[in-house]
Amino acid sequence: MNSQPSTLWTHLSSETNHTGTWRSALPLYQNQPSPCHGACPVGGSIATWIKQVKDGDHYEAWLTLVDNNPFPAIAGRICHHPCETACNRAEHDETVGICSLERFVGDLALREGWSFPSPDVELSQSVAVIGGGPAGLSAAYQLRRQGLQVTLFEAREALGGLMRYGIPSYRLSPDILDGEVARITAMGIDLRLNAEVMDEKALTALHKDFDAVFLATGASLPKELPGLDYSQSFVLDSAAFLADEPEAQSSQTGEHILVIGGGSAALDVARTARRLGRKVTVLTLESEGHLPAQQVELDEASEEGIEFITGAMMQSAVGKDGSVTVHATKVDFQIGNAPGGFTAAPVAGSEFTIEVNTIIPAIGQDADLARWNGILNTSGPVINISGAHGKTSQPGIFAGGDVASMSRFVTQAIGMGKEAALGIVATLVDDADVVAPSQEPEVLLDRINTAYHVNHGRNTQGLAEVASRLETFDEVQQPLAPAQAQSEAERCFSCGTCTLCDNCFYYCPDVAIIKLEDGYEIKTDYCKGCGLCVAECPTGSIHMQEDIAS
Amino acid sequence: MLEIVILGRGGQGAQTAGNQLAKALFARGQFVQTFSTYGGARRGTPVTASLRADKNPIRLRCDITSANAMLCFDDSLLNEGFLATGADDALIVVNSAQPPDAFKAFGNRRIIPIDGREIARRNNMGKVVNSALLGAFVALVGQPDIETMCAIIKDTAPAKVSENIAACREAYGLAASQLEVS
Amino acid sequence: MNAPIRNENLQLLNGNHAVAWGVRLASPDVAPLYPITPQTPILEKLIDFKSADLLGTEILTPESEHSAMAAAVAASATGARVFSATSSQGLLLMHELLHYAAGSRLPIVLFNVNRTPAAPWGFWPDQIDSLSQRDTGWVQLYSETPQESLDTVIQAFRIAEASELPVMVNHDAFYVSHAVEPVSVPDQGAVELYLPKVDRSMWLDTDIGRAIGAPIGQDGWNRTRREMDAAMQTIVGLTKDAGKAWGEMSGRPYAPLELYRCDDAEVVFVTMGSMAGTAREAVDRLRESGVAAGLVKVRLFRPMPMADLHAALADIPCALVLDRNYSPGVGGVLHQELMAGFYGAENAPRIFGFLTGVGGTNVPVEMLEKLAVDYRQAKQNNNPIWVE
Repeated sequence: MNSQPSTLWTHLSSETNHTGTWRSALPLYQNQPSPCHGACPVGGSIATWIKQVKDGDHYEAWLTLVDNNPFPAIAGRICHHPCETACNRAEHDETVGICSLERFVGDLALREGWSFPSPDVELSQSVAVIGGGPAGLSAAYQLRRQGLQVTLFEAREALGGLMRYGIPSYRLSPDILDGEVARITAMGIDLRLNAEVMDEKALTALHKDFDAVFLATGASLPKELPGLDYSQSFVLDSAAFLADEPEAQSSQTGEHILVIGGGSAALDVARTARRLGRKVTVLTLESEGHLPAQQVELDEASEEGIEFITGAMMQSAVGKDGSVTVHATKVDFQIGNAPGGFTAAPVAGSEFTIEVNTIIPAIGQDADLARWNGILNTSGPVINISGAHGKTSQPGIFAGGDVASMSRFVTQAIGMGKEAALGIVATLVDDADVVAPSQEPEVLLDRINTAYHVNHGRNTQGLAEVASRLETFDEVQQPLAPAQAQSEAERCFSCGTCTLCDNCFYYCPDVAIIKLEDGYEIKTDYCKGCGLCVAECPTGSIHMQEDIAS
Repeated sequence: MLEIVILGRGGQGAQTAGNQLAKALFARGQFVQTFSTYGGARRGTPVTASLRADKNPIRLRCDITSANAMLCFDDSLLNEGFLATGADDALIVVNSAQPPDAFKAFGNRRIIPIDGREIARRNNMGKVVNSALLGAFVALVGQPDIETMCAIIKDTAPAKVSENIAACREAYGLAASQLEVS
Repeated sequence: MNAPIRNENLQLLNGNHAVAWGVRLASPDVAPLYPITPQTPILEKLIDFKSADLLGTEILTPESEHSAMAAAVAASATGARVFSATSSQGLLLMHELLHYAAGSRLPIVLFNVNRTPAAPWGFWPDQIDSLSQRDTGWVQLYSETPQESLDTVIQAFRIAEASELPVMVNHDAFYVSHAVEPVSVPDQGAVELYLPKVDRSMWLDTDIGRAIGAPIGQDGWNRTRREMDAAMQTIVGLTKDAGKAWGEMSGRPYAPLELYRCDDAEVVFVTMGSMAGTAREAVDRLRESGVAAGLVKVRLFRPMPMADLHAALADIPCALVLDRNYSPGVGGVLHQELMAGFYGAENAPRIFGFLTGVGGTNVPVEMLEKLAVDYRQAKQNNNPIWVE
């Protein structure tokens, strides 16, 4: 036998070569917020629950959703979805259909009858929640989850607030609303219906009787349009109109209805009127492209035969024999520098008239603050709150929703209810486990290795046929089929959320990554800091940090 | 040294016949060498089997260019190119229903037609002619003996053993009587 | 030529089946195989043996010859005895891994059936496929007969395992691979005594922290080649020992060179493989006609047993090299090897190089007789000569 070649065999493992000493940077596994999370009014863990949908863990996805929002089926229908606007996938092909996926999970939960678990402990602290709309229900839900005792005061005969009385059933079916509300009341809430907290005195009494009060009375006063006589019979209040049953709506309106306003409420009025068989014209101050309503609402309204006159201002309305002559002028609409600010100067010589039978102005609602004079600062358009948790000037009284915000979005109200609840818990309960929101930067597109994401357009929800829409108040938007939902979930980049894809493990040239059950660990003796793991990460959940000390 | 060239079409059994003949000669105490050449072998293309037999070990590793005996499975393959690989006085057995006169065009060669098809048909062998041709060949070449040949066929025929042997014996008898006549 | 003795227990085997028998007797642990004409009967016979439970070897059938040799390298590195077989295009596809096997000093035995490489497509005996692998670090042996192929494949394992170099054994397509002849098959027990299984001094083992072929510096790489050179220097001796011991066991001794009637020869043929058989016949006829001819059969081509060749040709004035191969732009490979090996040697014979049988064309006895007669007195001519 020959002696063995001296240089062919290596007698030690390559583990003796501590390539880690070469390093000046070390990768760090860190789940960081996705842009959708940052944009979400309820702070939803979107990347997490979509990943759970992708993995087929629908129940877990629902649990993640309801951590922040007890209304996924509702939000999945009507949310203005700033998450989709923020989605990193927009530059790749199209944004992920987060709302449609949320609806998919929310509907499944209702079909399956999934309920909220009872709180781990029952606490003695009591909270009065005033207002049974999205903010109040959200707060009551979060407080009950923590074991606090909740008494909910609602002025009307049923819970839901704007969701029940302001959103037509073709956008949100009442049984969906009932289902998601019932799940909350089943948690054990002392419910007081038809119990309006009328004034400062009543509020003071509650403040005394309860450990904390959450005020969420919404915005119930319609803004008034100058130049319109609201006492005329041809003028209807939009909120009252939307709250009415179809028979009542029909009996109050003429053949041709002019809706004034460009927001969601105006469109809800207009489209409801179309379903009553009326001819509908919408007059908006905002010029085309600047209407505050969602584009999908505008598209569906146009499909349904609603006529728009944009960039125009009503100047007067003269009624005679059941018909109204509306004098209007075109305006030069300009977006201002301040958020929500604008100018709209009438354009000389552009005056015009239209003949209608009914006018329904829907230019927004204001909060009714005067009744809280003496206990709260009511000088502003809404109750002044400080910090994230809805604290008012009066210790022990918190506020949220439209009474404390001008943003007028249902999910914004839900989010404020959640935050106020967390603030109340932090105030009343010692050692409360209230997680502060992440201060980490959001994971933007440059952190995503898009090579691992095959281009694939969005899976869109179906729409009911226009002709059939106008005959009923049934929902227009149809749910995703399960296969569509799966496909849509798979489109999610999971920005900043590790999906355990093992790319880092396989690409590491120094075999310096160890797989753990729920993540990875870097062998610092061997990681030379090359950053391949970061480059090959499809989710942006690893990043390099300086590591000069090693 | 006995040098034999067998020519047939792929699938007719020329290579098998070469191997059987080699086995029979080997069984009679001779050293043998048989090899075939084929290219992209497929049914119907010409296949050549070469066979050498001698009392001494065979050393030659080249083509046979002066065969003592030749066996042709198909008279359509009989041409000058094939005949050129045989000696002038080579014994040439050809499977053919034609009379000896039909091969006059090839000159003064010892071409002996044997109607292998007819013998095969009579012995329920269909178109499989190699056992019949081997019987005739053994009779005409004079070695090995018919009993050894039949024993080898018995050991190596893949099917219809008794029919193969019967065809071999019938052709042997026919060829032997033809030899007496000539 | 080691002809079997007539009264032995002989089998009629073609050359490829004789190889398969040799492999069965050598009993390798692993055989990665891929079929190719005219090698396929080796693979088929081994699988017949395997399916009849007559062979313990693990047969792998990967998707290409490249993969077959890759598997052979890996298996051999674990210490297994490994065999593979191929031909022509298959050998050429293995080329990269041939370097790898030799550089890794793995005692793999590869049987190659010499066949014309494409293009054009052909199936004919020609040795350029293996000769063009000359510089890969494999020991190369060429066999003349089915009997020699059986005997040599077993000796090859002995040479390979003693030197830790891979060994390639070659025989010509059809004239050897498909020639059915009486072959003496040795007794299994005798072969086991001849070729005992020995543990290698180094092997890959998951229980031992050890690696082979890791990246290395220039000096280290250089040293592997000097070590390979030292191993190559042992091959002639090992081949002699293996051939001698085989002779003692079987009655058929072998050596790196075989000399046939070279005593007092005025002209000798020098050749490899099947043509040596025809050359023997030519030598006998020439001797009968009064020409003192002889034959030097080169059995070990790499490393070339040059000292033995010098000794064999010491008193012979004329050597006619017969090459069944053509290296374009040069001529016959064996011719060039001899020219280089005898350059500057005192009393070197006149060496002529004939391109005979390139592409498998027939080389009859008469052609060789005529070459001897025509060239035994001719003046030295370094150029290759095409013979028709």
